[in-house]
Order: sequence, then structure tokens, then C-alpha cells
Amino acid sequence: MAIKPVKVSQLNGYIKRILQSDPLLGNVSVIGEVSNLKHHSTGHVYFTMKDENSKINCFLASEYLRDLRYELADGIEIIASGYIYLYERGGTYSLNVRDIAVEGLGNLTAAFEKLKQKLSGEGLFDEKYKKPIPYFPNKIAVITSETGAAVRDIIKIIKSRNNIVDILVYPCLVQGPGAAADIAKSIQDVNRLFPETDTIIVGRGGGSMEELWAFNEEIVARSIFASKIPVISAVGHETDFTISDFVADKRAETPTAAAQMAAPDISALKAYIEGEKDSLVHVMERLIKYMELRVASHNIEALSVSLNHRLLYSAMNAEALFKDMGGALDGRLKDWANRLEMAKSGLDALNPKNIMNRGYAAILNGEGKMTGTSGGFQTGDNLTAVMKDGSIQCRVFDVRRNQDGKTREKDEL
Amino acid sequence: MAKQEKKMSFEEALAGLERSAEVLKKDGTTLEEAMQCFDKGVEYYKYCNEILSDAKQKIEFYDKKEA
Repeated sequence: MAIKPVKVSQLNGYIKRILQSDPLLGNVSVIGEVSNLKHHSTGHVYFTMKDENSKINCFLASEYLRDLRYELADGIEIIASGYIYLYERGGTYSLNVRDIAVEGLGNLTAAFEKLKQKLSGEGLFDEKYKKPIPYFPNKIAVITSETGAAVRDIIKIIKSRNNIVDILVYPCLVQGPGAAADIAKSIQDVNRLFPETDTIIVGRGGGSMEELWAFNEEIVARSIFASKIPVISAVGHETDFTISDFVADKRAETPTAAAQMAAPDISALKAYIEGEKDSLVHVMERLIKYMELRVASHNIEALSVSLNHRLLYSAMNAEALFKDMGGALDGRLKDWANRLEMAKSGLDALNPKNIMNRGYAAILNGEGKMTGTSGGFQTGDNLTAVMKDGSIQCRVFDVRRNQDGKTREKDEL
Repeated sequence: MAKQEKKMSFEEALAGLERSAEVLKKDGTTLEEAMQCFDKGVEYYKYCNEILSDAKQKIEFYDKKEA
């Protein structure tokens, strides 16, 4: 059996031909747990799949990664399909993966959490990106299966509340391998073909986690995030949470709830605006009544009566003031007259003419001065006696002075 | 004015109606202000009512094959 020695590369080349021409190894599905997951900067992914006894290196090219329906994570069990490839230079072989499936609640939940964490980290769930759902839409687009229960419920609820808003049902797959791509494309299409749409409802009725999975795929999340039109996500029942719910502008617990959110109740709105109008009318009426009352209390008669009162009062006031003023002035005048009279009688008493009337004369010395004393006179002096009706020139014969200074008039002449 | 009203959305008209009712209820509004407010409010009301009474709903299933 022994053949002559071959080179290493020849051996590896031979093994490669054997491996790669084997029909089973050219298309194989392998179950195992993911470990050592590494995302290379080129976009390719390297990881190991293992079970309790063994492991195999795996390679996932970036072009297949794009279409993957599940976010890979260490520790989850996957079913990888692909082919065995031998790397000649290293003498190693690997499973080149084309597609990956994830089964079982635990594994799906792990993949879900991984994607949720990733998108959350990128900010796709941030509140600041959430667009408000238009309050009064003219057009609602419903992206869902046209045969499902969800579309029937949504149309029924919208019609029962609102007979104004247009409804556009944009049919798409909601489960299975192609569903996510179809949903994503439908969201893009509605944005492109019907930009006048106010609100998009995307969703489906209840189902298992596998059935709802399309709404947990990255491609759907990204198209919801990119939508210019606000999106309400309505997937399954209220206990079901999907990635779509987190990235959508609004999560509805059910398709029915989405319809209620998207379309306002027209009869309630009518009642509301009636109420507002009634309140307008009511307030206006009250205001007018109040104004009327004020006008009535200010009519001309009332005004003239009040004016007359005020005139009368002013006149009385003026009169009293005038009286007061007159009294004060009279008093002042009398006072002045008294003072004048007193001054006059004072002056009269001092008038020398009055004394002369009574027979007295004023004696002036030679210089014409009145000295009032005999002291300045000598015998032979000339003097003048001034009387009431004239004066006489006199000469002194004798001077007799009183011991006590008193003069006897008789002796003086 | 009439042209602008055509463009006014229901939400804007509703907000206008609510605002009018609110202003009118305020104390110290003059009669003239109140009248203006009232007239505006009634206009908004009529506009809202017009929209709410226009039952123009269309329900359409988009046919992807046609497109």
C-alpha cells in the first residue's frame, strides 16, 4: 500500500480534493453551540461550533452575514449549513457557513437579546428619534398579510371610529424566511410610493416566537428606523415584545390597539368640538349680560341726577367758603380800624396845639430851641413865647428857680 | 385668509378653537377682544366640523403585481 513519499502540499491538496468532492460534506447542516465568536474588520465572522466532545472552526463570509435572520452570540445553539473547506497552507479545515438557523425559545431569546443590545447601543431605540403619531391622519398604511386576522381587525376598528381617514393595505409576508426582507421593502415602498401617508401600522396577529421572528430581524428594525413616516409596531399579543416594538415610534399591544392609536374617534371629536363651541357661546352670552348690566347702571337719567347732586354740593361748598372768607376779612378790617383810632388818639394827646388850646405857651430860647427849663435863662435874655394863635417876643427880668425844680408859671412871665 | 384656512390642518383648527375658548374665559377681556375671540372660535369650530363631516374614507388593497 505504501507509496513513495509526497510533499506536504501534495498531501493537503489530495485531502482537499477528497473532502471537497464528497457530496455529503459539500452541503451539510451541523448543530452545535457557538463559542469564540469574532467579527473581523473585513466583515467576515469567525467562530467555533462545539458539542460536549468535539469542536469545529467555522467561517461566515460577510455576504451571507447580511442575510442572516439571527444575531449570533456565544453560547447559543445554532444549526449551521454550509460546506467543508480545507485551507491548504495551514492544513486545517473549517465549516464555511452559508446560513444559520436558531431553534428553541432559549436560543431565540438569546439571539433576540443580543440584537436588542446591539441596536440599543447604536441608539436606534432612543426617545429622541421617536416621531409623534399624527393626531388626525388622512391616510394610514397597514403593512401586514392581506389574508391575516390583523388586517381585518385593523380595518374594522378604524371604520368603527373614523369614516374620514383613508386606509391603504400594503400586503406582505409576515412569517417564514423571506418575510423580514419583504416587510422591510414594504416599509421603504410605502415611504417612496405614498409619501402622503400619515401613519404606518406594521404588524401581524399572534403566533409563536418563531412565527413572529421576522419582526425580530435586523433588516426590519433598520427599515422602521429609516422610515420618514411614523411607524406603529403591532405584533402578536400584549405579552409579545419584538425588536420592531422597540425601534418603532410607538408600540401597540395588539393590531386592534394600533388601529385605536392611529385613528381618532370622530364622534368623540364631534362631541368635543360641540362642547368647546357651547362653552364659547355660553361665555359670550354671560359677558354680554354683564355688559348690559353695566350699561343699565350707567344710563343718562342716573348720570344727570348724579351730576346735579354734585353741582349742588359744589355750589354749597363755594358759598360756605365765601362766607368764611368774608367773616375773616371783616375781622381783619375792624382790627385795623381800631389800631388806627388808637394811634390817632395817641398822637392827639401828644399834639402841642392841644395844650396851647388850654392856654399854655411854649418858651423858646434865643436860638429858637425849647429847653423846658429855666436853667438856660439869665436876666436880660430874649425869649419867644409861642401860643396857639401867634407868638410874643419877651425879655427876662428876673430868674427865680425852685428848690424842687417845679416852676410856677405865673412868676415866669 | 380663506386660502390659508384651506391649508389649516384639523389639529391647528382644533387648537385654535381651544385657545379661543380659553382666552374668552379669562377675566379682564374687553368686549372687543371677546367679540374677536368669539368670531375666530366660531370660525375654527365651523372648519373643524366641516372636516369631521366629510366622510370621504377610501379603503384600498395595494396590488403589488400591478405595480
